[in-house]
Amino acid sequence: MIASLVMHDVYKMYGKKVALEHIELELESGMIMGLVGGSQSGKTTLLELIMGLIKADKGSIEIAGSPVSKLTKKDVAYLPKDNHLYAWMTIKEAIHFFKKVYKNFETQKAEELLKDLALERKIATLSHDELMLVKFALTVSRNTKIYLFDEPFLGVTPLVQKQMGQWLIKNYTEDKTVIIATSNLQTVEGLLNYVTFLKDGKIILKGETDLLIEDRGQSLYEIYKEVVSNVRVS
Amino acid sequence: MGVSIYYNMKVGGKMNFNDNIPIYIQIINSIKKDIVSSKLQIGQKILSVREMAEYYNVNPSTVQRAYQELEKSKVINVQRGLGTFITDKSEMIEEIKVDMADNLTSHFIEEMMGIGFTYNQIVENISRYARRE
Repeated sequence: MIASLVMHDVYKMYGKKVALEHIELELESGMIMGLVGGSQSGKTTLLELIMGLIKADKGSIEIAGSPVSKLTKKDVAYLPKDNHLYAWMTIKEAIHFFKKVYKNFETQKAEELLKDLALERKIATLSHDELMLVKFALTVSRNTKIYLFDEPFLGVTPLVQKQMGQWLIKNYTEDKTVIIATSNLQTVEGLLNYVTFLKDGKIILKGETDLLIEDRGQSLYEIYKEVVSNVRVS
Repeated sequence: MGVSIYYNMKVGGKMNFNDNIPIYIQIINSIKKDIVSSKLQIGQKILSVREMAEYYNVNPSTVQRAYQELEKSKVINVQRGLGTFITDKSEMIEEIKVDMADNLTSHFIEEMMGIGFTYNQIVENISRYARRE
């Protein structure tokens, strides 16, 4: 069984600043991984490397056994932190836009997920919660191998966060891999069966959620607090 | 780890994420508890892996793991195409009850002895408590 994602000894520099250092990660399909760390910890850089938007300065990244390249772009669906939808489009137009741009985009699924919103509404008129729901639905409606979400719950009310979690579960199949970059664990904790803690560009701790909890006798949140404060763990 | 795995279970179908107990174990305990308290009947059909994942808002593979353990210990059985069912063997139900009781009791005794109570004092304490009812 080929691992769905392998990052081996990855480094990324921005000039003299080290954004990511010695990143080692191996994920199997079916995993939903939390990439947990504060702002400036390197989460976005890591996701952009997997997406192929930027190149690593050292090390290798493989998606289903193939090195990241133009060819692997179609295997990754990325939901960036910034708004990547055109404000003047209606929701319906955004759906059609995605259909045109992305192979394996499931229009019916997107329309079904967003059925509670009026599809003729313009993106610019949506509330923050509604905008995040639309972005989430569009990403999840792409039928691909790897899904990357960069802080999808930022500024989103708990009820809507829960809705997004439900959509993830509804669309879960064992051949997909999900990475959710987040700076807070609430609401989404139950979904994560793997967690990677990032601090100052380094992986401080990583592992299967159940094993981490069992080995350390701590809850995920307690582990997070300990790891984020300056205690170095092996 | 001297805390009973049953003590921290929340009642009523909510997982406690602030717990140091893995979610798959919480799911296993929740189902066993419901069986022992007759909320789940012998032979009753339970939620599928996916339905349970959606109900608790957890990763389906976590639920899968819980179901696999329960199936291994014959608490539930998965019938292809029909669904997942609680065992239809009453001896199994009895076994689960006894197991749960033993677990709670042994941890209670461990804690009491940890503070310095002897067996006799523990029994006396329970008898006194029972008389109040």
